[in-house]
Order: sequence, then structure tokens, then C-alpha cells
Amino acid sequence: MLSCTMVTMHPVPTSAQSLIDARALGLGAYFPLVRDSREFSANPAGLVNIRDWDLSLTTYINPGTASPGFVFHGMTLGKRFFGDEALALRYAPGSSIRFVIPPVLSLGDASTPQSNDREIAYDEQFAVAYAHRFLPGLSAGIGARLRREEVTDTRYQIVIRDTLSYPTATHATFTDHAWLLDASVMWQPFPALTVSAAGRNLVWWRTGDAGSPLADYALPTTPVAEAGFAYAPDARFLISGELATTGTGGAGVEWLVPFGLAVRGGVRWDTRVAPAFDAISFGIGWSYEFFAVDAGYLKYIDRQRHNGSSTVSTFDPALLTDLDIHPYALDRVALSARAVFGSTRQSLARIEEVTVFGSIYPASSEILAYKPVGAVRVRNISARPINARASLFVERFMDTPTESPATYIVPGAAADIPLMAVFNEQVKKLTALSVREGDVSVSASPAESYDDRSQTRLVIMGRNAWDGDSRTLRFFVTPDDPAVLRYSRDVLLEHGDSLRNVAGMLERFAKARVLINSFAGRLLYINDPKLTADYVQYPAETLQLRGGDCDDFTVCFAALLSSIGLSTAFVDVVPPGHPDNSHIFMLCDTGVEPRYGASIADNPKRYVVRRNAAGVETLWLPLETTVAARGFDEAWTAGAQEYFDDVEVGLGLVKGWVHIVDVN
Amino acid sequence: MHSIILRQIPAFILGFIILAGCQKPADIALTPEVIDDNLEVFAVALPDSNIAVSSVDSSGVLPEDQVKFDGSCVIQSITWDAGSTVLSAAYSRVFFADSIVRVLGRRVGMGGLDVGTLSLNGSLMMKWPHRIPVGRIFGGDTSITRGVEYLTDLTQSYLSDHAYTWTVISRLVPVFTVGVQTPEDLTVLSPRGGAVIPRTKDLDIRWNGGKGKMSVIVSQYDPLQKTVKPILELRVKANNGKAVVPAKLLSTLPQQRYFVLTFILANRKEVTVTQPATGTILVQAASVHNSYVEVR
Repeated sequence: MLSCTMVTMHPVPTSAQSLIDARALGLGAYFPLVRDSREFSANPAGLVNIRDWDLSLTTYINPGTASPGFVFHGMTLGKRFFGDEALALRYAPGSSIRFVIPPVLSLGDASTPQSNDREIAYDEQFAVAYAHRFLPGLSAGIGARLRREEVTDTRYQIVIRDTLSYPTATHATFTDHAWLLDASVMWQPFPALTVSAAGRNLVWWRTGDAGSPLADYALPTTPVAEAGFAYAPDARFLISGELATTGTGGAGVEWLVPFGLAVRGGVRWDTRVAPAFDAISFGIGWSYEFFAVDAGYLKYIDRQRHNGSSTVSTFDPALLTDLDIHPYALDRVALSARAVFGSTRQSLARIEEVTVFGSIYPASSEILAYKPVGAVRVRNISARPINARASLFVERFMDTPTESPATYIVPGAAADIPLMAVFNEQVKKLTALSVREGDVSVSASPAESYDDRSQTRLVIMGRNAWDGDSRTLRFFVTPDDPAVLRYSRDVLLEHGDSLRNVAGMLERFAKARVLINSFAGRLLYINDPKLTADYVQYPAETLQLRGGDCDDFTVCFAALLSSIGLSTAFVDVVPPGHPDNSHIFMLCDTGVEPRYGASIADNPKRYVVRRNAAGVETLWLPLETTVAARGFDEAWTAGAQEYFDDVEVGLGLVKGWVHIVDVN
Repeated sequence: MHSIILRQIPAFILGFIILAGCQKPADIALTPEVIDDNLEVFAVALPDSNIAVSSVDSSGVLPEDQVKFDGSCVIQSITWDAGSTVLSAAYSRVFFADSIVRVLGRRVGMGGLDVGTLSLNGSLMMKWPHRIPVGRIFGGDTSITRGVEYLTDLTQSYLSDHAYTWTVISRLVPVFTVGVQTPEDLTVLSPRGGAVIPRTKDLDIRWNGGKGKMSVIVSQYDPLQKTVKPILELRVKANNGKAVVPAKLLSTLPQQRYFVLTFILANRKEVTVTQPATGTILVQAASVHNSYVEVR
């Protein structure tokens, strides 16, 4: 007989969560921890956390029984799609119970069937669930379970013939199926806490036989509500708890130890029976990349009840709210394996904040390959330690994303990862300030190109912009610029005769003099353009414009002198209390040894003795480039005077307001 | 190499889980508070309706056994308990089959062999004509006499748990001797005669008496015709004085009110003989108690 009914007309089985998977078995309270296909039927909302294809299998054994053997408990398959949707199926032939009432009568005729007097079987082999993520921390799911109740009754009949009377036994089987619908919601208010709630048997649909004897063994009909939480106070430690209106519940802890290992423990209670403290559980697990294997052991406290048998009068189907964990179940050791397939993203890391330290100055962009332009705060949102790398990409100004070194982050923790940048030559063609989008991505998954992405705005200055740091000013010095090379060589060639008569020791000094003198009367001091912080002309521009300010001239003369093999250095003067009066001039290495100082100047205060790049002490001439229009001697005199005032008298070097930066 | 091994581990474990789990979940036994599977149910075969047999409530021997053997040496103590009336008797009967008796070509029984002098524990047994009932289509039933059988009334002298020996003497020389030990007295405590037994409840049966195999023959009883038709034989696996006839079985009994439960506590054996007859004979000593009950 087939019958279809909806709610409240027939009793249907009630089910709280089951503990099929070994991890769930070891924890004792798994309902709030569902994050993949494992135990999805207990909390469908957790399915949204699966990666892509998610497969798990479980087998178990009942230790202590007469003939223990492995029972294939079941397999689950989950699939995530469209990013926020997930679907899962379960086939669990092991989720079944069969109660047998032994035969009370044996028929002597071997041809008649010998069987149990009655067999009551319950199973829940198939389940399906769907989940949807509404917000990053909020998801909901619905699930359906197909449950079967079957009673096989042995019935006797006496057949009376003319010359023979004999008993026969026949089996009458009564079966019904019920689809039971559950719903759950999972909320993660912050990374360390997850709370879940579920309602079971909210709607059901039943087909099959009705009436006796099924009615005598029907499972309870009351809808069940369940709530649970999982809290991870530490990245390697979590606790979970759950409670159902059936009076059952559990609590568990999990500790992640190194090498992908985890140890677990838990307790179960059932207030419907005495003692209410029902079972304890232990478990271990190991995971490697996309594979995990777990083992769990559930041991019941009341050995009298959980011994594989009961009595007809005390058998109460109402206690069977779970087909795996119930008052008649045996101790269990479960072994599970889980594998993840596919490629859908499952972020291990999340970008929390991107910080840019300042503007990008194209002239000194090379230094940004080693000096961070910013930092990204990355949090490990996975359950295991990660090595996270951050990368930055600015379209058109970078050929490929620049990746930072890996940073180790423990689960739940956050770390600041520096952002490096390697720009191409296009950036040096930027003539004015520009604001660009920078793509920041973080990668922690070996199989993923990135785990999280973000964008930040980068201010890229014009090619002539200078950040005011004398150490970066040298990036404007371009001795190999063709215009510079052409100018310096033309000047030297023009004065070739006079230079040939100069002693070799003073050759560099003479070349510097000739080169500086070539600007006599041909340079004009001009302030930086308005509305610019610090504008530095490249040497070729200064040569073309024949004008500039101190930094322009210093850069230009440094480039010219460098182009003919002379070492130079910047003298950056920032008077204390008067930063607006900062100034820069230069030193030029004559290559003359200190003992021959008299060959250059009688007054030793007109030169500076310092080591050159080769570590040899030589004489360096202070040159005030802004007066180079009045000739070399004026520039030298002014420079020597400034050096004397700022360094010798004012002790600027000692006090730190004068910096000498070698250009070469 | 390391990564290859790591890749193989998942496949190995997944395969193990699938292949190893070949066992079904263990059953959970729900045992009744009173565990009693002490009864085995056997069919009862009736011989050809042309062959007349003695009623089981008076012979203590199933109809099939009455025609299967070439002879029988039985000693019985029988009680008929109808509730208000209780009768008891004891006797010994010896019969050796001689030849098939036919009437109008139909086999109606076996003739009784006259073996001469037969004693039971030294006392001579009476030789009686062996009567074979013959049913007729027209007119009333009658009987024919073929050969002899030996009878002794032991109502006053029957001893339980006692050895009895039959001896055939030919020319003052014993040519055949067979003995049997009688079982203890059988007292049926439940159900007593006249009891009303509901079909929907298990029937507890209780008795006292040992040193023999116990069986209960359930027979239909026609109080008007005074006929008994055996239906089932319930063999008691262990004679511990109790057994339960499940309601499932009672409910399948024919929709008739009156039944006889014939409790047979017997020591029986099958003996192959060559003298004075040839074949296999049944040797049985039994205490028989008939409870006439009403099943509703």
C-alpha cells in the first residue's frame, strides 16, 4: 500500500546529528564545526566552506564484539559552485540499525524457514543538502534525509491436509520511507567563534506501509532543535559544544600539533537515560595539503546497556534519535579519509589592510625593489600555518607583479608583509604626478594563484620629483647620458692643448677646472617651478636650459665630472631649526694625495681630505655649484667657505645636520 | 620520490576504507524477559485413511509410528484429564506384524503374529484377537480379526522408573527379549484439563517428571464424535519442566474450540529383530497425560 501524507498524520523518525566521520566521533560535538562534506547532514549550512569537490569516506569497527570487522559506513561528496553555493550527497549504508527478536519457535521440518521472530531495521542511507552563503560570515542550508523503517515479522500457519498437518513459517515485511527536511544556519561573528542552530524534521514526506507492526516501532515525531558553538581561543586549539532538545549533547576539544597532526577528545551525554554522562571519545588526525585522515574512538560508559543486546520490554524506539549514537549502540572505532579535488578557491589568507608608505619617485624607483613601498596586513584564516607572499602590480609601469619574500603566519594570526616594486622604464617618462591603482594580492595556497586580492592607490610623482633625501638625489646623476658625455668631451677637447701640459697628478683637478669654467657666464640660478615640492632637473635638461637651482647644478656637475672619471659627493646641509634654508653643494675628488696638497692650494681649508671609493685618502674640493657661472675659482672658494662654516665651525657632520653622500 | 609516496598514501587509505568495510553492522538482539525456545514444532503425518490407527491420546504413539514399524512393545501409563473428570489407566501391548490385510484390494492393516508365549517381567501376557477396524461406504463400520496381539492391564501394578522386560518363550526357551525403563510419573501442572486458553497469549506449560523425552501432541478434539486428530507435535528440547507455546502458534490453530494436549514422557527405542518376527519394532515406555482444553 502506498500512502503519502504530510506532517502530523503519521509518526516519523526524529534524528539529531549523527557522528559518522572519525573526526566528529573523536570530538563528540561536531555540529557547529561542519565546514565540508563531512557530517554535512548535521549542519547543511557548513557546506559553503568546502573548497570544490570534497570527498570523504568512513569505515568503522565495533571492538569487543564476538566477530569484529570493518563496516563501510559511508561516503559523502560535496561540490561548491557559483562561489557561494554548495551541494552534497551522502550514501551511508553503515548508518543502519537492526534489532532482532530471536526465534521463539523452531520448526522441525528443515524445509521451513528458520529465522528471527521479528526484525526491526532502521537506516538512513541517503542524504542531500544545499547551502548558500548570504554574507561572508553567515550561511544557511537545507538538507533532506531518506530514512527507511522496516519490520519483518515471522508468521506461522498450520496447514492441515487429509493425511498431514504441518506448520509453516512465512515472513511478512512492512516498509516505509520518509524524506525528512532539516534546516540550519551558521554564523561566524568573528574568526574565533562560530555559532550554529538547526531544526530537524521540520517537514517530511512519507510513503510506504502504515499501521501495525510499523506503528509499534515508529520513531518519535517531535521536531528537534539544536544549537552549538565552536570557539578557537588560540590558533591551534578549539572547543565545541552542542545541545539538542532531545536532551542529548556533547562537548569536545581539538588541539593542532605540528606536522599536520591533531588530537581530539570529547564527551557525550543523554539526559533521557541514566547515567546521563553517556560516552567519552578520543581521536587523532593528520592532514597534508588536500588530504586528511582521521581516527576516532567512542566508548560508552554504561557497559550494561551498550552490550549489543536489550530486552523486548525495555526497547524504546523513542530513544533512537540518532542511528549511530543511541542507547543501544556499541563502542566504535572509526577511520575516515577526506580528499579535496578541483580548483575552486579556498582562501587560506585574507588581506585586512594595505598601507602605502609614501609617494613613488620615478628617479629613485630602482631602490623600491629592495625598499618596501608599503605593507599589507594578512591574516591566516585557515587551520594550519601558512607561508604567505604578497605581490604588487601597477599596470603599464610594471612588467610583472613584484612578489615579496614569504612570511610565516600561524593559524588565526596576522602579519604585515612588505610590498616591493620593480618598475619598468615607463615610469621615468612620467612628466607629472599621477595616481594609479595598484593590485595587491596575497598567495598562501600552493595550488592557487592568489588567496585574496585588494587594490590600493599609488601616487607616482613626475620624473623630476625628488623626495628631498640626499641619498636618492644621486639617482638623478646620469653620467652616461649622451648629452652629458657629449658636453664633457667637447669641453675637454676644446682645452686639450692646455690639459696636455698639466702634470699627471693634477690632471683631474685641471679637467674639473676646465669643465666648471666652461659654464662661466652661461648659467642662471632659477628656483624650482611653483607647486612642486622638490624639482630636480636631469643633467641633460640643465645643460639644455642653462639654469636651475642648487640641486639641479649639483646633479649636473656631478654627472659631468663623473662622465670624465671623477668621483663626486653631495654635501647636504639642513641647518637646525631652519629646514627651509637647506642647501646642497658638492665635493669633487682630485685624486691628489694629501701630501701634495700644496700643489693645489696653500690653504689646507680649501680642500677636504677624505677616502675615495678605493679607500685611498685624497683631496676633495668643495664646489658651490650655484656660483659656477662666475668660474671654477669662485665656486671652489664659495664651496670651501661653506664647508668650513658648516662642517669645521658648525660641526654639522658631528651634529648630524650635514650629510655627505657619495655619488659614485 | 617523497611526493610520489605522499600521493599514494591517500589512494591507499581510500581504497582500504572501501575494501575493508565489507561487514554489515552488527545486529542488536532484543531478547524476551523469559527466554524459552524449548519447543520444536514438527508435522504430524496421518497414515492412509483406509488404515485404522489407535488414537494418540490412548496409545501414546503417533499414528505414523503405528504403521511404520513391524511391531511394537509398549507400556503406557495414561491419564485423561477433562477437568471435572480424571481417569487413569496403565497397560502393556505387544504386536508383531505378520502380513498385510486387504479388503476389496484396499490395505486396511496388518495381521498380528502369534509368537506363542509372551511374558512381561515374568508374568504372562494375555493373547487377544487382533481386530482391524474397516470403514465401509455403505452401512456402519465393522472390524475384522487377523491374528493376535498381547495385552496386560497394569492399572494397578504399573511402576514408574522401573525396568520392564518382554520375553518370547518358545518351547521353554526364550527366543526374544527386549526391555525398557519406564519414565517417572508425569504430572501436568499447566494447562490442566478444562482450562480455557486464549489464542492471543503465550501458553505456559508446566509439568513434573523426568527420565524420558518429552513431547506434546496438539490434537483437535471432537466432543461429539469423541475423535482426536493430531495436528502438531511439539518436541521439548530440554526436559526442564516448562515450555512456552507462543501465541503466534496458538493463533494459527484451527478455528475450533476443543483440543487435546497429549503430554508424552517416553523412553523409546527402535530395535531390529529376527525372532520371532523380522524387521524393526518400536519399544516404548511412556507416561501420557491428556489435557482436554478449550482454546478461544
